[in-house]
Parts: sequence; C-alpha cells; structure tokens
Amino acid sequence: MSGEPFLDDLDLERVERLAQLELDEEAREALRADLGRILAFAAQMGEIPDQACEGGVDEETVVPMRWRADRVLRFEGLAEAVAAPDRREGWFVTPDSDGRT
Amino acid sequence: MTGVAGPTIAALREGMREGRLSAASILEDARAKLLEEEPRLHALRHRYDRPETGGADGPLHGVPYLTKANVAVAGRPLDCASRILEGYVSPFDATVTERLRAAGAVLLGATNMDEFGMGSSTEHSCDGPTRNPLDLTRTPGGSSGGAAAAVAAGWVPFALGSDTGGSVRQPAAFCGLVGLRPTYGRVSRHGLVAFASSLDQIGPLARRVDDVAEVFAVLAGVDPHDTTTVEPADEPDDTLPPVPRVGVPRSLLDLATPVVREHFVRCVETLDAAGLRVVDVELPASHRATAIYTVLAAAEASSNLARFDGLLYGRRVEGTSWEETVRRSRTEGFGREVQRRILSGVFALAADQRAHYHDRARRARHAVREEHHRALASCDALLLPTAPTLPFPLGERVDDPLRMYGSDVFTTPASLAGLPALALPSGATDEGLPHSVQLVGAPFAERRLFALARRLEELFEVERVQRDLLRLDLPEDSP
Repeated sequence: MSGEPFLDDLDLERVERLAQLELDEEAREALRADLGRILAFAAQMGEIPDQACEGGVDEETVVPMRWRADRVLRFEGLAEAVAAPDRREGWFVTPDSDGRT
Repeated sequence: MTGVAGPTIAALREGMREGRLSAASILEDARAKLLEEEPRLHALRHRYDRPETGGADGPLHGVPYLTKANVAVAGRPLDCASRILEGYVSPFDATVTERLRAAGAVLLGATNMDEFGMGSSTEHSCDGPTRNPLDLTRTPGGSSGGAAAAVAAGWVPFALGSDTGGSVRQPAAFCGLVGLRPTYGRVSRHGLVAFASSLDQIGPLARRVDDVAEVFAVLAGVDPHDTTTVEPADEPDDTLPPVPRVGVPRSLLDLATPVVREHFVRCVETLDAAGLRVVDVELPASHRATAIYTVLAAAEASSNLARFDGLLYGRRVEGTSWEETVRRSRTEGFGREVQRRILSGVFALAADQRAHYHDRARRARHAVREEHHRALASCDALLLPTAPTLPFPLGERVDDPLRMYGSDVFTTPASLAGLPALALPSGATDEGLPHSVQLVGAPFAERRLFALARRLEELFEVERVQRDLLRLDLPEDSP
C-alpha cells in the first residue's frame, strides 16, 4: 500500500455510520486527514515478513452452536413474563449452554 | 514540597507500629497535601469527602491510595474522564477495589486520565490536563498521568493505573516512579472499564520496587468474574542466578532521542561494570509494534465503546429518533482522540478492510510475541528505555496523534506479547527531569523481575535520584 490512504466521502460516511457518530464538516475533514495518516502508519505492519507471522492465529473454524432445548413456560401475567432472570449476589443467573446455572 | 519523595508503605507501617503514626494521622496528612496541591497539579478526577476505608488487620492497613477514574468503586462516579459517562455511578466494586479494601488500604479518590485510557499525556481528559509535579509545564505522561502525578507529589505511597500500551509505565517514567504492567491475566480486569480487552491490565505505581511488589501481591490472583485470569502452573521464583543476564535490543535504541539513548547506554555500562551480563538480543518485529498496537487497540476499542450510547446512563443528547439520539450523544460525549480511535477501529474491522488491517495485525502480534520468547530464553529479563523522550511540554503533541502514539514505541511490544514489564527510575538530567529504564520478564515472572529491579534500584541510586529531582517550589502565580 503506497502513499497515504485517502478516505473518500463514501468511505467516511460509512465509517461514521458504523461508529454511530454525527460529525460536522470541519470535524469530518480533520478526522479524514487523521485517519489517512493513521492508516498509513498502520500499514508499516506489512514490513514484518509473512514467515515471522505464521503459526500464531488458527484459521477460523466454525464451532457448532449448542442450542438449548425450547421450553414452553406459562406465566401468570405480563409482569412475570417480562421479569428479569433470577438474581444471585447482584448477578443475573442464566443457564449456560449445558443447561447448568 | 520535596521532589519525588515521601513515605513508603514499609515506613508508614513501621511508624504505626512504633506509635509515631496512626491511620488517622496518615490519612489527615494525605488529605492535607492533596487539598493544598491539587489546584496546581489537577491530578484528581474525583476526591472522596469520605474515604473508602479498609479492614483493620490487612497488610496495607491505614495506607492511603488513589485509583484511576476507569476502575469501579461502588457508589462512586465512574466516568473515565469522559463526558459520555457524566453522572454515572458504579453499582459495584472492581475486584482490585475489593482486594485493596480487604487489605486495609484507604481510598481517597479517583485520578485524572486520558479519556478511556486513550492517550500518553493526560491531555485528553474531558476535564483538562494534569501537570507533572517535577515540572509544571510538562505532561506527567498518560493515560495514568493523574496517578503518577499524585504519587510523585507525595500525596500517597501508591496509586492504581491501567496499562494497555504503556499507560502505567510511561507516566511512571515521566514522574520518576516505579510502575508495573503485570503479565496479562495476573490481575483481574473485572470492574476496569474496557479499552482493549486483549491488552488492558491494571498495575500499581509507587516510589519503590518493594511498594509495587507489595501492592501487586494483594491485587494478583484468579478471579471467577474475569475468566482471563490465570494461576500460573510454574511461577518463576525470585531467585536470580549468580550472574543475572539482561538482554538489550540495541537496534530498537534508534527509536529513542539522543539524550535518552546516551543515558540508556550509560545504564548498560553500569550494569556491565557491576557484574551483570549484558546479552545482545534482536527484536525485529517490535520496531513495528506501535503500528500493530494502533490497529488492534483501535479495533477492540471501537467494539468496547459501542455500548456507550446515552440511552440508559451517562450523557444523553436528544434527537428526533433513537438513532439520532445515539449519534448525537456519542458525538458530543466522546472527545476527539476517542472519536479518532473508534473511527480507525471501525475501518480496520470493516468487511473489505479487515484482511489488510485487523487480521494482519493479529498475525503480526504473533511475530512480536515469538521473538520476545526467543529473546527471553537467553536472558533473565530484557532491558530497554521506558519512553523514547523525556517528559514533553504540555500542548506539544496533543493535536498530532502520530507523534503522541510515538511515545509508546518501547512499551507496546511487551503489551502485545502479554509480558510483565516494570518501569524503573534510572537517573535525572541536569534540569531535573527523570530518566527511566524498563525491564521485561518472562510470563508470570513478576517476582524475578522485582528481584532484578531491586538490584538496579541500588545500582542506579534511585533513592538519591528521587530526592534530587526538581523540587516543586515554583512561585504561587506560576501557570
């Protein structure tokens, strides 16, 4: 990657939306310039040989989800139905994927 | 006011045992100093009118301390020096808070910091910067600058900081103190507001290695609330070999300014003359550690800070829809540096950029980790400068993010590698500014690190250096 990356308006608008920020024009232009410099700096990582980087990060594997069995529960009223889970010592108690709490 | 001086934990304990001091008199003295000097230093974010007192029988009974404004204390403000958490009060204690209370320590307040830990000068606080007590025109470093300033000014014997890329070590260096970043997983992060979860660690700052070691012993240990804490299977003890070996990555010294580099070379010569064995090591990937860290920390921060939206707590700026409320709250609540990091982190994780930035950074981190483990196989600890410069003037770097990130070139490698690292005063300039060196140890080798650091404390005459550092006796009308 040569030179300083330039984030066009579309890039910046997308990043701003993902970051849930609402920048005015002045702030947007200042941050555009900053981001370009930061990304150029970050690209220095490319100087580390690929061989040195091998072995540390496993290839992504799909871990099958362990779904809890559906349960049908009856509640006396709406209040009970929407009540938070049990609490213990200030923490919510929720079953883990094995059904234990 | 003296330079970096003041009672150690051991001196306070001895004073109480001999009846010269009491927990009440120590507290009164600490509070008086704090109240007198805080207007000039601005080291505090929150001062507690009623301190949090601890148990009467613990090893730190009666010892006053300060915590960083991103560590939870039940019933107290927890705002990370950010407007977005304005008015938020923590409903629970961090594990470190609980452990220090059980040990008898007395908590006086929360210290100023760079917002959410993002910075190296404590100038990114929503409430204004902290000043370095050794020179009020300079920064105390960051992001734990308030903690460092308070300890260096002699208010308390120790304070808690948090270290993601160097935020305990670098301010310790800038204020003439000892600062520890523990092995990742040694100290619980439960109750630490997350910045970058694979990098954050809580660590103590104090004037002496013994004090840091004593506080670390209280903080460390497995915590069921933080599943990243571990109990090491084979913890190295504190026994040093007859001829300790220090590994020096000489090629990294190019990253330091000439004055820091020349001082560091003299330190190495001192160790060599004292009979320690100096071993040359190579850390080629670590030249780019700050670039790797910049991507990973920003990516993790963008995820961790997504929860702050003004809807349930903190500062809310109303919009015409909930989405607009969230955007306005975040835009007005976060400072410029935090926005910068969130945006760069979001970009690094974006679907079409992730391979170039985030994934690449994760793989490059492995290179840094591996070369550290190889280097540590040939020595008892690595030795390098803590910071590339002396404490810099307030305002010099606050608007230049890359120059600010450059403060972390010597601290980010150990963070990426998850290794314990200790900053230690090593001398002073003629102008009274502190020099600092950093020891990096093998995983879970804090006790050995402390043993080696105690040797260096003697060789570098740290007690004398701290006593002679610039005295804070400027005229009352100084800025």
